[in-house]
Amino acid sequence: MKPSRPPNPESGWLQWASPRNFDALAGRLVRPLLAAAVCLAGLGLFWGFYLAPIDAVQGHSYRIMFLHVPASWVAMIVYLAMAFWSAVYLVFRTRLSAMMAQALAPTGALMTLLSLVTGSLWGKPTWGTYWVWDARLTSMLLLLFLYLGFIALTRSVTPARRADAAGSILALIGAVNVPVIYFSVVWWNTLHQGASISFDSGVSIHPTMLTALLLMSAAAWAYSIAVVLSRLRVLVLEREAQAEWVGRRYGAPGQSRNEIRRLDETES
Amino acid sequence: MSGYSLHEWVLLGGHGVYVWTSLALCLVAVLGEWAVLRQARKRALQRVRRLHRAKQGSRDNDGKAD
Repeated sequence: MKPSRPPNPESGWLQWASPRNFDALAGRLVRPLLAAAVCLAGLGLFWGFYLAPIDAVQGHSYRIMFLHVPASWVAMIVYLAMAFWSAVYLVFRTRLSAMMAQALAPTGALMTLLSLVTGSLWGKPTWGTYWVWDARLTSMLLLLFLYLGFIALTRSVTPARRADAAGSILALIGAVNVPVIYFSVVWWNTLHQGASISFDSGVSIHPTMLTALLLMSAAAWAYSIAVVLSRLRVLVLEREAQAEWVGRRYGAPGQSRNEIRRLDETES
Repeated sequence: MSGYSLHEWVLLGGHGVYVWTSLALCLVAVLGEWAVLRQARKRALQRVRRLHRAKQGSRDNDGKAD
């Protein structure tokens, strides 16, 4: 029987657990993702604000859906991603996992805020009020507080390792709120309408509206991933400022993108 | 919306104020987040370069002392 060898952290998928390797990968992804986000948002806005027909019941106010729904989806899934990376941190103690959770939180908080604000602006012409304490709206507000709590906790506790652990536990506990948000319109009698796209009942909107919604959602995802990767690179720079590789890659002033890429290739 | 006049498109049947405010807020939030992030990266890079210069300086001084 062959003796089992420990996995080599510099090969396979494990290499991306290293801040040095992941920083190089993230640097290559940010610009294409941003370009994709701009193109998709342009197309989505054209489809949603020009091509899509007027809604028979809500009139033109339904067009807020093309902003509100992608923001809400991103807000919920980013929280689940944050909880996932927190769990990975608690199990494997990989510092990049904790940094990933912390890079996700501000974007998740912003998307939750946008979901709440655009939802209020949609609520006024549709329900006659900006806000009601119904299950969907209240659980979404709770999600915003969870994000803000996570950000405050991870930025106020020292040392960083303790902040990472405390934030990870909070992120995991708060994950219970995400299914509550999703199923709130099913479990309780709420003012908020049911899902326009669901696994059970399929799609209940016009195909042009669906195309616009999917384009805007893809744009929101491309933007969010780009911003999270970019924030992760900032966190890596802040935390690993003393590391040799950071000094080699970013230490010299005025290094161009090509020079940094050449250094990455030389190192690897 | 195709076939509508510009005036009708702006007013959106009286809902324009809600729809365009939502769009403007989303744009401001997204562009603002990106701008804040660019500033944070600039600051982090400046700090790394300062640290690197300080390290280089102390290495040079050690070399001279030897």
